[in-house]
Amino acid sequence: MARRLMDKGFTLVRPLLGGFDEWVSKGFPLVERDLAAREIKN
Amino acid sequence: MKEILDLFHSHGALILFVAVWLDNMGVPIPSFPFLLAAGALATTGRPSLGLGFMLATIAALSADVIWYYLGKFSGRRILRWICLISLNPESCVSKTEEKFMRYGLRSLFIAKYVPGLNTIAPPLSGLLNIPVWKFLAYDLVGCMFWSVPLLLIGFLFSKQLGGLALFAERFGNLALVVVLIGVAAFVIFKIYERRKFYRHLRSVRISPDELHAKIKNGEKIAIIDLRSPLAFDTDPFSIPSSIRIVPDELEVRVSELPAGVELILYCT
Repeated sequence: MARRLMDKGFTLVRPLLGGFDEWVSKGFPLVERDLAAREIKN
Repeated sequence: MKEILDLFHSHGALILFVAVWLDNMGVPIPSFPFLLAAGALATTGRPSLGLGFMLATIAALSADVIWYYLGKFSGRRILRWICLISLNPESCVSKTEEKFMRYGLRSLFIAKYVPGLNTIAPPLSGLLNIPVWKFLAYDLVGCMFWSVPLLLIGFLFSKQLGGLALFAERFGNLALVVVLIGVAAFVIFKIYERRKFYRHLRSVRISPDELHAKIKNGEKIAIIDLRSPLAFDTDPFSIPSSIRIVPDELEVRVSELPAGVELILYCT
């Protein structure tokens, strides 16, 4: 994914190490999905 | 080598059961040669085709049920653990999830033939709260599609397989050493590949601590939630201020992403 975005001209692309599961396991803040994720609509 | 062949001859049923069970538990021991051998031995009645089929099916099904309940009670943690022990982390959970989401429970019909899907499909079924009877019914058919053809091939080509066994017996320990070196070289190569892959990832990735600090400091970043639809739908939480984009739509929606800021991508 990161590589595809870089090919499109985005130079500052960084995947999160360990992903969402690692974020959760470290106890960092979470928000309920409807409040957090702005679904980009067509 | 002769001892191994003798052992299989005298304890074929037990060895078949253990090999199939270990393979389905995710241990990298391919069980198809054991099924072929059991099929070939069935020509002598030790074990019979029916017994071989029953043992292979019970072994595969019992391992799958363990994975099913691990998925049901451990959630996504078990998938992450499978990915960690996998020799192919780059094609691990996400691609397998994609296959499972596309074909649903029907993917269990062919799961035994698809590396990765075999181990991921049962815990995914548990994770998705698919009723156990439904999982068992589909998985049973999958086990049959897998064990019956291999046993029959072994049975029908028993003479040719016997020739191979004779060859192995004649070349004794040399054949065993060659096989062991081949297996060891394969495992070492995969471990090397995995280490290289993780080294590369570590160099470009952002750690959760660093991301947390950036959020706390109010830095201008865009966090993109690229979890698979399955992962997203089964977890009601997200990282604060993240933008949800379905991975397949990333390229179509690339123009909607903010330019000039650091993009942080995350999946499971």
